[in-house]
Amino acid sequence: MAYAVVWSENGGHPRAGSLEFAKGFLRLAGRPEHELSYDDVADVRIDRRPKLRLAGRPTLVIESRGGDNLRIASFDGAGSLHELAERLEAARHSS
Amino acid sequence: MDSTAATGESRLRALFEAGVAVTSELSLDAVLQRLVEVAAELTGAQYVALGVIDETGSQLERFLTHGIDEETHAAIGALPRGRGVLGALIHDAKPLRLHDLSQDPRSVGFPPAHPPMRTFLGVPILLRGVAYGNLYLTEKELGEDFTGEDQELVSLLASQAAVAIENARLYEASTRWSRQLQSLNEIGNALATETDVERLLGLVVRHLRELLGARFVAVALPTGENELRFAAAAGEGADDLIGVTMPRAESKSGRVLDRRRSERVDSVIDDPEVHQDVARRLAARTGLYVPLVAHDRVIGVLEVHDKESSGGARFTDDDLRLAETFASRAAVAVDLSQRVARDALRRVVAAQELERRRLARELHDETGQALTSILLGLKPLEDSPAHEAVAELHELVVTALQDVRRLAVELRPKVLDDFGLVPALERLAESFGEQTGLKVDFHSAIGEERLPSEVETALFRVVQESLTNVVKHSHANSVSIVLTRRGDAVAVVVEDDGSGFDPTDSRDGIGLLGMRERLALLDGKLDVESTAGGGTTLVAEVPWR
Repeated sequence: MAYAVVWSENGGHPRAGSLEFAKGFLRLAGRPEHELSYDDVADVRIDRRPKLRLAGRPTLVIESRGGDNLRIASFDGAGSLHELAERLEAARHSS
Repeated sequence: MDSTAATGESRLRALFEAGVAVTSELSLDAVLQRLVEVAAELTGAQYVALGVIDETGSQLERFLTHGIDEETHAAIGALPRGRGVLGALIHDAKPLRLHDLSQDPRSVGFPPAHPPMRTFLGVPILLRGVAYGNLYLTEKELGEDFTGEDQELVSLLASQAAVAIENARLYEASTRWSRQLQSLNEIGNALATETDVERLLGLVVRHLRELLGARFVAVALPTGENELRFAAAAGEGADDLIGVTMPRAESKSGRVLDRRRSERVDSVIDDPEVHQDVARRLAARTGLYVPLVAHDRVIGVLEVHDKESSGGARFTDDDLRLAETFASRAAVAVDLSQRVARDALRRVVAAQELERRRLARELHDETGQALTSILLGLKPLEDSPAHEAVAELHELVVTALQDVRRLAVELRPKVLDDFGLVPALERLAESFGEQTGLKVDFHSAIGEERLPSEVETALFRVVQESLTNVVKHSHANSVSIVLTRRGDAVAVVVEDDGSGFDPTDSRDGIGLLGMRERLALLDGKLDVESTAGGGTTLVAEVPWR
């Protein structure tokens, strides 16, 4: 299952595309693509503060072990951001 | 007078007994065998044979003899095929007496191991002009020729045989009718009580297979735009066939569906329209293909393969008519099930929209208003000693208010109900472009007129879903949305310049099935054109009124 999302890496220009939970890593497919191993994820949280929003929406903030920051906003309807967070936590713990 | 042929009195007795046998014996074979024996007894013939042609007229259904033991029978081999003198007797249904069979110009000789035969008497088995077969005798005792009196006696026996055969066939026909009625009655009852269409179709194919004596019967229903799927099957390998799909354009069933006309195929392998992979899988030789039509709509195809009775037998016109009767019952079942499913979907969609509308209104009017009141309440506190905490609260409330309003719009934009489809799509295109960075153009060519609410909702949801798909799958830079009239329909065209996909791929990972179902509720349709790397064009069309 893919989610329609907008994401930003380290506060850079937002990109639109899809998010998929692949085996062992998170794939953000768009232009360009981005992949993040579940093992590299250090912290996951939902942030609603205005300065961390994307497209006016709250974001899923993913901190990597290397110190990078990935913010993801979902277009897949109410509750989908929490669903993403839960699935990412589950994927991290099973990897 | 000859020495062993029956005397006048014993002939009368034999004829009388033969007549009694015709009226009292239930087994047709026993009656015919009795007539063969009487013919031998009355005429002094060493060999007698009686052949009954089947109802198709293509082969012998029964062949009874006198004077040929089983060993000789086996040595002779196959039954007579109606060539030579016997052929003449079949094609020109008149009595025939010969002094020497071998001297007749029509004779084709005997097969190896056949006993020599010279004198011959053959009579057709006729009733009211219908030929049921023939009765023939050879080798009258003492080498004498068969007489005119023999011919009259044998003709009388042939008439009795004809009556017996016709009675048997009438009895068989009435039994068949009774079974057909019983089957149709059972299916009719099931139609009234069974809601699972595949179980109903299973009942139809099982009964039809039994009544036709067919090796295999199946029902295929359209799935997606280009395929047919076997939904029910009866016969060898039936379980493995259910769920199998075949291309509509490259199968006999698909063609029959398009032509809306039943077809009988006597040689499946020679028919270029038959999907040979499926035919091989079924080991099919012959077939009946009957469209399922309900309310002038073709909704599936019934396939029947191979008579079980004897090798190479073909389906008859009666078989085709029976299959058409069952196809009409199957069509009712499928149509009913589709209507029930559509009604259920319509209710679900309506309930979902109602719920979304209520939630959106609650969020907008209640929660949104409450948050606005809090903002107003915070205003006087901005200059208080706790102004920093107030500022934080203010920011929190503002973002919460934004979220609530966005959520309300996503659930059900108020503008759609208040101002209609065009303003709703304008706002959707604008906000979607702002949020995703895509260039989204919207153009309407339908004027100011409002459409029925359910049409506006369906088209709005299709565009909403399409835009989400563009983000998820196409990686496009720009999207164009055009709302226009197409004849008697209103259409929305969503076109992107993204990566495209193969629209014939039957996996529905992008929600096309849901869009199709939603539009179908309004008698609308969805067309998708796409090629890898060439973008995607989606056209949703709904009748204007």
